Amino acid sequence: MKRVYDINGFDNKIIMEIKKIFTESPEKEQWKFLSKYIYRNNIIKYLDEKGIKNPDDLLIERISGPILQAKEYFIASEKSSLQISSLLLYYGFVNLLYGIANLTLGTVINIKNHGMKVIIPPNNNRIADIKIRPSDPNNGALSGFSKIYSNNCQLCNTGDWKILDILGSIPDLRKDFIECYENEASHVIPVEIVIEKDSTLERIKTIDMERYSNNKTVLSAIEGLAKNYIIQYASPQIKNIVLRKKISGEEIGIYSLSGRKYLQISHLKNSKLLNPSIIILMFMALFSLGYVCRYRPEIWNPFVRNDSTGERLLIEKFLYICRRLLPNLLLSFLFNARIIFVPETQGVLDRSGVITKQEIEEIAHQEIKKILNRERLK
Amino acid sequence: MSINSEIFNICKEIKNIEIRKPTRELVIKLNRDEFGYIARQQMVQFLGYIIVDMKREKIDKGPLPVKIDSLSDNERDLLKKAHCLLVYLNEQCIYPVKEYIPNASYALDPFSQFSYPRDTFNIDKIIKRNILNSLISAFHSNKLINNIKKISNDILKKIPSEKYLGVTLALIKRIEKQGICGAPEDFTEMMFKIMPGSKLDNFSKHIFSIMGLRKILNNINQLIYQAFLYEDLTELNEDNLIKIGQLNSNQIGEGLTAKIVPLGQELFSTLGDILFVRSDKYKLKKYCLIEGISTNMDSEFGWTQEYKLRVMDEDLNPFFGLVK
Repeated sequence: MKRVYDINGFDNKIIMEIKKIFTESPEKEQWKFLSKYIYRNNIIKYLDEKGIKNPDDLLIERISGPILQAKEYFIASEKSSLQISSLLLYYGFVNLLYGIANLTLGTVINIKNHGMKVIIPPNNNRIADIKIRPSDPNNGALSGFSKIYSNNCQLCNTGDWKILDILGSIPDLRKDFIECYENEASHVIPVEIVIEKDSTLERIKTIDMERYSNNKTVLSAIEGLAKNYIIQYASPQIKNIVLRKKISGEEIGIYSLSGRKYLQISHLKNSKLLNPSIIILMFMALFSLGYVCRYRPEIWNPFVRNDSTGERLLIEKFLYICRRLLPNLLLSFLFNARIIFVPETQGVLDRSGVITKQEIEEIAHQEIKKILNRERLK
Repeated sequence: MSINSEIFNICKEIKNIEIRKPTRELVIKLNRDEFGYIARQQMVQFLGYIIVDMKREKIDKGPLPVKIDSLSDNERDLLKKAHCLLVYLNEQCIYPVKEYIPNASYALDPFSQFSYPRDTFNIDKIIKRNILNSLISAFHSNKLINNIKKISNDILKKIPSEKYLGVTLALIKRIEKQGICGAPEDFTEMMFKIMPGSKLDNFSKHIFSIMGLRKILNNINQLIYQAFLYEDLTELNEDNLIKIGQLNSNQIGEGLTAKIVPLGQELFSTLGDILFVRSDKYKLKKYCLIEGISTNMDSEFGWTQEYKLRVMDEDLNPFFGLVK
């Protein structure tokens, strides 16, 4: 297993190893793993390993039931049109987050409401301009889940969050986001990892910074960057922004489904820089999309039927990413490892490229012998 | 009282002397072209520039088409004053050895292999000489001076000065050629095979002490020269270090390799410079001499510098392993 540092949604200090799972169908495979915890015995075994003996029926049912329902909602969302898929997916999301939270805490989490309100701006043109206002820090689902899945990132009293902010924070959506919203800058920056013989560096291409007015300001809003990396800014002598990890620095960043690394630009809310996890951000966006779908059909219906801007495609892709990504992220959370589903062949260890010290010495001896023979013949 | 702590006090004083600013500006100007390049290759601080000025006609006629402009009288004067400060300091430091074994003192002088007119200058015109006294005392208290006195005898006192210098320089060159990560093979063999207390052991300790003292003086000169040019000592630390090699201990002393991203003053580092390496992660706080440096200015992957460093002890001796 390869050792990496990953803050893909959770406690920034967790060190995560990569665990590869062979499959031809990641979406089905991840649900097979999660579905283990629908069964009483598996739940009891998991809790027992965490030192929680004899869990009561209420806890077991509040783990099993939500996970089972989540699976059904996810399947239903995939088979439905955009008219209702966001609402179904939100219900799936909240159930899954609830069930896994109860499983990992070993107790039923206290949640009485969604913990968010939706604000529709007057003369609303884009879905992306709809806002979410976090509320109820004590009993709201958003705050409750944020404690578990986002290092207790405090979102109440931070002001309003636009769906635009959230869509721009999803790595897998970045390309579509930039194409759809021409003048908006995303909150994730792609990074290229360059592996050299004796070190590794990361670089940000200048073209990926075009939409930001001040590169230094943007990079200063990336949590942990200045502390852990030496930054060489682009200049007439250096084409791109080059990042090299300090000798005592830790790696930062998140990874897309394709394995591409991204740096997250924190959101400035009420003079504070905040960096909620991808899980929490997706949860907020899904809540607002589900809300609009359910309670504001005068906005949702025309959008689904008649959108000509391309925003509909983006929202559909966002829903697909949520369906694919959330179960994967939660599995990583449960196993404390970065779970990657791969179609690679298993059971083969290729050492044909490995060369031993003895082989090198033999080659060197033979070459020296050849040179000496040539000299003798002269 | 170590040489290290005393020299840094003097470097602070250097920042306030009147000739620092014009000398600094002159050296920076000269370093922009071949004049400075050739001068720095000599690794004798201000004397390097004086020598290049003296030999410029010969350099002009050399195989490479290099034109060296002559210095003005004022510029020559500045360099001579700065050099005289180093010469005075060296002479005062060497004095006890000169009194005791004059032929060996020639080998201690870091400028002894160069032939140039020796100017006299009253250094009180540029710095109060009593400021230098603590450093001079620290040098006199160094165990290597005591070694020379203890081991010297009538036979050694008869060895010609040039031979002393020749042997010292040859041995130093062999060590530097071997690199920072090991000792020349015969050094290692010699140190293991020689009987402690034997005549050969005493002689080798004597020569090693001379080598050490010569290097210490050179390093003192270098730090004063750097105090003229820079506000602070260049430091490799967790703000610029990206890789640090294992600290290599050998019969000569200790060696270290480091890779950094040069963001400021480090870009101007050159062979013979002294810098400080600090890393909490690797528990390092060492003054080091640069024995190798390469700068990679890659426009695609950023700039990096790789250093080969020889660690110095608290008396600025890089050969502290030779005489324990």
